[in-house]
Amino acid sequence: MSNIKIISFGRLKEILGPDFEAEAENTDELLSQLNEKFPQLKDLKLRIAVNQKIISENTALENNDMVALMPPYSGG
Amino acid sequence: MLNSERYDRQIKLQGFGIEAQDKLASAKVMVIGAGGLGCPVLQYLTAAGVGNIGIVDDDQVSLSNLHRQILYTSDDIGKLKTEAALDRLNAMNPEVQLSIIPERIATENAVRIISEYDVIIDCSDNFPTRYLLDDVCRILGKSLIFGAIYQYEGQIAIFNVKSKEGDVTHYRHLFPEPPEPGEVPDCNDAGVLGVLPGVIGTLQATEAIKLLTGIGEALINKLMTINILNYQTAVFEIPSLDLTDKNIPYSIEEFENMNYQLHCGIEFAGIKNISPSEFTKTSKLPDTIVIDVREPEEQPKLDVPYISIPLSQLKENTDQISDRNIIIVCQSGKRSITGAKILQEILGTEYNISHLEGGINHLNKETHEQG
Repeated sequence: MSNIKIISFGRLKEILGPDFEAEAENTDELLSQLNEKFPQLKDLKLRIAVNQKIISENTALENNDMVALMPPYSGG
Repeated sequence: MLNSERYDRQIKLQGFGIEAQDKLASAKVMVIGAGGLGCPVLQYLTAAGVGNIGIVDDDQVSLSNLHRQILYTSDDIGKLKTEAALDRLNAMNPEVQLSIIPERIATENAVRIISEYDVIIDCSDNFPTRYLLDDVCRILGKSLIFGAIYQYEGQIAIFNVKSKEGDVTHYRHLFPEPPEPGEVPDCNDAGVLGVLPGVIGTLQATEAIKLLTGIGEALINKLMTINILNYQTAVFEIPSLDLTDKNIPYSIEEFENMNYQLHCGIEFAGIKNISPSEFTKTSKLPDTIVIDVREPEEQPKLDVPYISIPLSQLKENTDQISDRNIIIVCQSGKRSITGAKILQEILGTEYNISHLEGGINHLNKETHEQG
């Protein structure tokens, strides 16, 4: 299991709270853990970045990786 | 001939010089939205001497704009933003050619408006416009400088510009599909600290100057996020992939046939959006019922006959509806569209279901707010 840091933005931060750490092998596993713990996440559009690279498919996680969860903003 | 004294302090900069100033003077930049983000973008690009600047906005200045839309004064309330901005910016720098278009950007006018400009700056306040601009800039090959805000946070990126490696990204690479209506609250609902669009808009103007003059490293294929409460800042790499979604346009013709309200779930087939002035008329027609789906304690109350069924109880209470024409109303127009969808599913297509766009907030104001 890899120990990773999770940061979130916008409304996702309101749901997930302050930055925290979690354990997961890959981003799919992390997302299902988060969906279980925070059911409000389920229907939200969000984008995941691992170590500041936005990913498009399931990505393996290593110790000390930083995972960012980003929602779209509309305000202007 | 440039009045170089005006720009002396930036011409003096190492790496800038008269060459960069000439590039600004020959640039054509279109700013979509003259609200929170648009104000600082317009001010700085006008001051910096960008040769041609276009301003698109159909909105009027209202009192609740003034804490963040710093081009406008209390005397401008009720005036078109484009007119007020033009006066202020002309006084600031008469050397800049300003063109104003007091229209809402839409599929009908976007190609005409955008074709004449090189760089488009997205200072809009809603998802339909953001996806529309991303698509039209991709199809017409225009650089797009994106900025968006939420409460205390902002996002900035440059799309549709080739990186040194030859990669091009679009807003759709970041968020391929629009969120559901109500999923992401806007400034009207969630609030915004007045300085935030100042910070983010100033960064959009910075990116425009960098892109036009070639100085520094512009945010090409990168998303920058900033939180002004703790200055947590990050720059993310956006992956460049082929767009394959069949529901998005790939040609001008396909673009002009798009319905971005429908695409973003703000409008639904069979459900009519009605404006405040239409509401005043249609709510009085025979065989018509107005349903307020807010909670009973919410204010202000409607001043036309209506029944109150909170959204959470709508499904179980459709037997209260006997009229053919149904108008659903809520505070901001978000719960009402959900309510209209629920009724459409239960009652079918024999009923004419509509909802009040922008809700009672919109009804009680003569002017619509720019987020």
